[in-house]
Amino acid sequence: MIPIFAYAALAFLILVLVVVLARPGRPPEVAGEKVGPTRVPDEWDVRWLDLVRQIFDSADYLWLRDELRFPRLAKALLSSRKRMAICWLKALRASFNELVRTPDFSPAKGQSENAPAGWRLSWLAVRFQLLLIYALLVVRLFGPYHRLIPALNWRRLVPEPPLRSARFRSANSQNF
Amino acid sequence: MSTRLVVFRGPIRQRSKLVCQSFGWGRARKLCPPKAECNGKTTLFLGLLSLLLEGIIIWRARAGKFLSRFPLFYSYLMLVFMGSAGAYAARWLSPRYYEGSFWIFFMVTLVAEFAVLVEISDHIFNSYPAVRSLGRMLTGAISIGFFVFYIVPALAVPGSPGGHVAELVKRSSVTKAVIIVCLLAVARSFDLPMNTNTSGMMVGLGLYLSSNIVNFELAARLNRAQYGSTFAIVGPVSYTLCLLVWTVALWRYEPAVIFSREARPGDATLVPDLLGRFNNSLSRLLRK
Repeated sequence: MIPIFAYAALAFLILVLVVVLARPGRPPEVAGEKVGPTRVPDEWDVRWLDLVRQIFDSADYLWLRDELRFPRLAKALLSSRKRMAICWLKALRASFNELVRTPDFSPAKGQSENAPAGWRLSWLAVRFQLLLIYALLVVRLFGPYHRLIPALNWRRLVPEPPLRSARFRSANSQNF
Repeated sequence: MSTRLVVFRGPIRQRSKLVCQSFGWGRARKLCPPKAECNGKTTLFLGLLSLLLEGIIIWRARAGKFLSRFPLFYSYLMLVFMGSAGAYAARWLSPRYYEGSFWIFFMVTLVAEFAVLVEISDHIFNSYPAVRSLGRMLTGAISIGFFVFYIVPALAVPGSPGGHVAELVKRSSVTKAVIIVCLLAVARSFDLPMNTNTSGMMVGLGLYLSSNIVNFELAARLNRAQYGSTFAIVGPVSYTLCLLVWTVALWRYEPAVIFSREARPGDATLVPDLLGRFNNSLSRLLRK
């Protein structure tokens, strides 16, 4: 009986997803909707890159928390930076999606024409989209100062042989 | 028990007959179950209604001159329409020929449904150079992956031919439904516009496939007395509903691309360069 219920649930889920996701719609810029909280400027100018660096730079936060000893202020800064980081990532995603939606005005081409280039472009678009989704998830869960690539601290669970230099150092300190 | 044959029309009805027979629900040398157990009048009515709807969809596309806009979809529909008409003719003229050609038509329609998916993916992604190949890439990858890891293992297990047929239809329906959901999810993640034609095609096909999944799973698990008559009616009903959705959605043609006010000719040539810059910037960010 379990497979019957499992397949019935799967079929119901598929039907709901298809009906929800297949709603006819227009792209936001055509429908006149606001595209995200902000929009990435057309020119990737220095000011915009500076803003990004400041959002993801943890120096201010660490200075407030460790040197000035204002943990609550540091926490407030962290939450405001988190909001800004999410806004920035959403804006980047909206601009990227707008770029992807650039239509081709040239006459219809076959799939075979420039197929490798088309596959490479599609792969780049998917890669960027996946990384953006991942970055948004990490920022939402852990904040803007978390490493996007895991540090793999679990490796330390495995005992490592001491380095030769460390052994020599301990030997030397004992001798002197 | 009456031995008069019921001729269902269209792929799903023929699958119903096949599975009824394969499970031992019909007589050993007949392709379809006895009329009394499969609500013959209802299925005949649904069969004629489906034939009518298929004719209307094709006629509308021809009158609106948009047959060539969905070449694979209308090819599939014409195949089913002509196959069904042929099945009716064969039933009256040469039942033996009909039985012989059944398997060929059955396999062709099972594979031809993938053409509808390719059509949908082309219609969603083909106008955008940045993701032009994405639809076919997804469709191909999921089809191959599911065929190797999901369909083939089920067919490799020893069992009755009827069980294998039910598994094949059910699992290929799951594969097609997963392709539809993935195409939709990817299109939504890029905010790609969806028009009534494409949405309708997907909703209709999704409805048909999801009912197929449940129907064939129940047919494989329950016996003839429990599910025989229901099985023979669910398939035609879902296929007719699918055709109704397609008729409404494809009543008039809508262009796939809705041009942005800011889009200019030549913009598409800049897309590869800009995509490369987006990726370089993100790679730098990740390295930090």
